[in-house]
Amino acid sequence: MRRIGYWAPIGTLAALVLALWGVWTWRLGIANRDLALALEAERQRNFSDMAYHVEQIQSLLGKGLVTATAPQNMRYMSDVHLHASAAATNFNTLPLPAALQASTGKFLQQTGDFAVSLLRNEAAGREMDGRARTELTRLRKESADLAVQLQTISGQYSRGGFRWNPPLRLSWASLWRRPPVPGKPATGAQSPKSMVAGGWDQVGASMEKLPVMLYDGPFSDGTAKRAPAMTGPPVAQSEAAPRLQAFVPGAAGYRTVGIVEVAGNLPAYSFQLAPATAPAGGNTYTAVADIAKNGGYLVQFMNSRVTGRPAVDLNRARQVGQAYLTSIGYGSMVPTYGQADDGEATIAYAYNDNGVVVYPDQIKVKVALDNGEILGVDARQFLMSHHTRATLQPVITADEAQEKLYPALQVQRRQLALIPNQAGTGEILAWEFLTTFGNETYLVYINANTGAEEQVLQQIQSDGGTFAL
Amino acid sequence: MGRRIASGFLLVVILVAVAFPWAAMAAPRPTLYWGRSGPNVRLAQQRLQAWGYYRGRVDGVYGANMYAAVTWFQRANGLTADGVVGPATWTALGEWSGGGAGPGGRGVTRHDDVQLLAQVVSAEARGEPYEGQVAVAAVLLNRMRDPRFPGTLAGVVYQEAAFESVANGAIYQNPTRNATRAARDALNGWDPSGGAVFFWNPSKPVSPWIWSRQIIRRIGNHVFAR
Repeated sequence: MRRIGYWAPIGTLAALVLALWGVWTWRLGIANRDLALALEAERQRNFSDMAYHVEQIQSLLGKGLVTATAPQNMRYMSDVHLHASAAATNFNTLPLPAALQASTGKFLQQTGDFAVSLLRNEAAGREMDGRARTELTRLRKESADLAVQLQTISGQYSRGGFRWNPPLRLSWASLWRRPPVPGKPATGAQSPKSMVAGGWDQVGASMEKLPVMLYDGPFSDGTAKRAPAMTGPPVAQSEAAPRLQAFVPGAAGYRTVGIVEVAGNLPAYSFQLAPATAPAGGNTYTAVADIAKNGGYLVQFMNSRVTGRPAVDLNRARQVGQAYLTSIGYGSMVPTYGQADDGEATIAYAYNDNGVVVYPDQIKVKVALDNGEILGVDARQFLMSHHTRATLQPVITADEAQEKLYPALQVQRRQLALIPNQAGTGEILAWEFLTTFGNETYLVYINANTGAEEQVLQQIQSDGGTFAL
Repeated sequence: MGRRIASGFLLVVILVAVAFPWAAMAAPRPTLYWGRSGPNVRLAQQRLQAWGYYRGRVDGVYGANMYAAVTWFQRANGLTADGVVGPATWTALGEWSGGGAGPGGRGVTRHDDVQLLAQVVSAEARGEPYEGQVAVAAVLLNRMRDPRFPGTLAGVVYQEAAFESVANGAIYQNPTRNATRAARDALNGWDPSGGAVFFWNPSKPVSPWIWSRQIIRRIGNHVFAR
């Protein structure tokens, strides 16, 4: 009797706790299921949308091949671009292995980009040539193949073959093993097969086999593998080290604590620098300077010092940067845009080729606004593109070019400039007009040879300076 | 606990940095707190009322209702809920007039890009050398220009399975000051990664496919590749 009296309250309490815990777990389960279903719906919507857009792409490419007139073809190509970017947006939200994401995403982006390059040519009066036609035929076939594969996957899905977020099955294993999380970086442990069924393997296999695509556009396979324009005889590491003295601002204040080799477009030695006053033996570094293996140029310098209260303004910083560039042998540079943030100013300098501002040949300099020290240099763009160009002579005069402008623009300044073309594959000599429209500022570029309007940039004044959009 | 204090301190540092940009302080609005009155209080009340935070009368007097509304608004906007309408709160209200966007700047700012980029850098590259933090930010920007990846910053950041910090939520923490500086440097064109579009920590499990990429360099604990 006394025993029951002792155990009854404890038993009741335990039962109550267990019941509360049970209800709580049950509610949690419902909330989780709702979230999983919402995510599932989102993923499946994106997948279905992607399949729809790919079908549209293949049909529009077909129409583009059949039509005889350029205006009609331009219409189809602009729609291809629209559907390709929509398909890519949808596709990128799907939890798929990185390799598949990369290859299929690239196919979609290049298809859209290629359509735009055709559109641009046709707008400039250049009709589709045989090569473009072959490429279009190939893209048509590949997008049709992709559409069919997506339909297969869609069929698998509707038959219940796979789910983007398979619901967690309660089993003994789920007690000690964490369920796979879709959206976690694909690791070796989590193979694509566990997540999605075989259909995607087929997509991956055919996407991997696609040939290299070369055309006049920013996503062309040719643009990624550019060689630097400024190069020279190979420099040994021992020869590169003394160059630091010439290039690095305040070089005497540093000592090298480590050297790393850098591959890529601009192979270099990266010297890790610590203040000369720091205790010896450590390998922590506060600055790095990269010297190109070919030619021994300064590729970049970066000091990570946090700056104090500003005492130098942007104009003074411009002069400091200019003086530094002159001191390391880049005398003919003009400051373009500048930006001051958080006690640092970043100023871009462009090469001045006898009065022509060569925007592609750019060096950026970062100046500390507390004491005017040079905190960073980035000459990568300059090294990639600077070469001796044929004399830059405009065919049309500044006045003739100005006539081509939208009449309501107020011209504030005009000068000759060399700008990259829209595809990012060449350069154009243009008259640059700094104009105001209402209270907005625009840079308009008129081709100095043909008089065509090449580019419009809006200049944004922010707290710290100007940047272009 | 120590971490909480540290992150609280960090938040203050960031708030100070955001609230007092040394660059521009043209005609700032006055700081509002309990007991203040005037047209600026009226303006703040109108704003808060329009968004449903303020339920009282628009009378230009900072009272109890206003205090409740301001702290609610501050909490909802990730600001320190102290009831003081300073530069940060004025900015969040869309009424900060110190400096600000000049001609043509309406609706266009790089601030959101800097913030998002800084969050990723802070979560993915905390404790890395500064150079490595800039490189991580540069990888994200390089991805925007690469056909294999989405074309917008948010697209790149939130791409499925792209970043562990997005999957585990670490990205939503306040970025460190260095991460913010690194993000800004990368947006200004710095790229210590040498054009890389992948980075990973070799000591963590990664998909074997990633090792087939062309490695450009190593900075700190990260390998950068194309």
